[in-house]
Amino acid sequence: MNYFETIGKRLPYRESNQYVDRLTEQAVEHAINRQQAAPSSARPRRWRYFAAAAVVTLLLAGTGVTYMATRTSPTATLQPADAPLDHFLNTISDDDAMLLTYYDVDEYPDYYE
Amino acid sequence: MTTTTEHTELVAMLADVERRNDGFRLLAKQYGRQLYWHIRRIVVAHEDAEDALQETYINIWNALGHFRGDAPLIAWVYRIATNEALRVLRRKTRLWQSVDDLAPVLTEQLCAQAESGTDAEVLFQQALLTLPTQQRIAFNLRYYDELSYDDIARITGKKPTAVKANYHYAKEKITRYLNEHAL
Repeated sequence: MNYFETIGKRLPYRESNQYVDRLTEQAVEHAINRQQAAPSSARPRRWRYFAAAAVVTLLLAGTGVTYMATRTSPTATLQPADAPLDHFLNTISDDDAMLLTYYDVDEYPDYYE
Repeated sequence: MTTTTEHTELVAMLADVERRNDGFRLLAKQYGRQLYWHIRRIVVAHEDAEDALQETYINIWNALGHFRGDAPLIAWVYRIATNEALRVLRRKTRLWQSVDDLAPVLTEQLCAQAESGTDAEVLFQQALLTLPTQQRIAFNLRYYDELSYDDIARITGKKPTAVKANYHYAKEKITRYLNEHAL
């Protein structure tokens, strides 16, 4: 059976040609009147895009500045050296500090003031 | 179908700002029914076709100033209509879903809206809905609108040879579907 010849180009919908013509006419007039009524309707939309882009740029810039300002150096997290032992270690040379590691804690010379 | 002279005259009217309104109305009169049914065959539901048709004419009107007349007018308006119909279909898809996955939804709408059709006509449309969307569009443009493969290629963005192949594959698939579900 050749379905294409039997069924042809008929569609199973009820809308008539007159109905479609009326629909088309309305769509056309709507398109013309829409454009004539609001020729600058594109402008507010463009301004919205610029405003959104500016807000995003400011947010990104603010985030970057905040990050740079609060970024700390690795050594900044160290505790300030103000304990007596720290004062002592600051006064001796590196070689002497190294020698201290060879002593048992009970053998440390008494250098504290 | 318009003659070459009528087509040239219409393009001239659309290019002339003074006569553009009349040219636009004439364009709608010449292609109105074709565009509606082309959209309707893609989206199935009348409400969606109405929505897509409205947007089609708005887009045609907005783009008239850019139409250079180097492509056939019919291919140009059909391309806008096809894009609007696909936009309506994409609105129905979920995240990660393709328009090709809408076949069950469209079939349901077909059964709900096919009030005046015979069983054979409904079955034929169901067979069409089993095709991938692009293949269905190519088939519709060739079978119902009798457009040339070159015009269909301009509308769909495919090569004419691909359109031809798509059309014949579609015909085979439809025939197979109808044989399997013969009444």
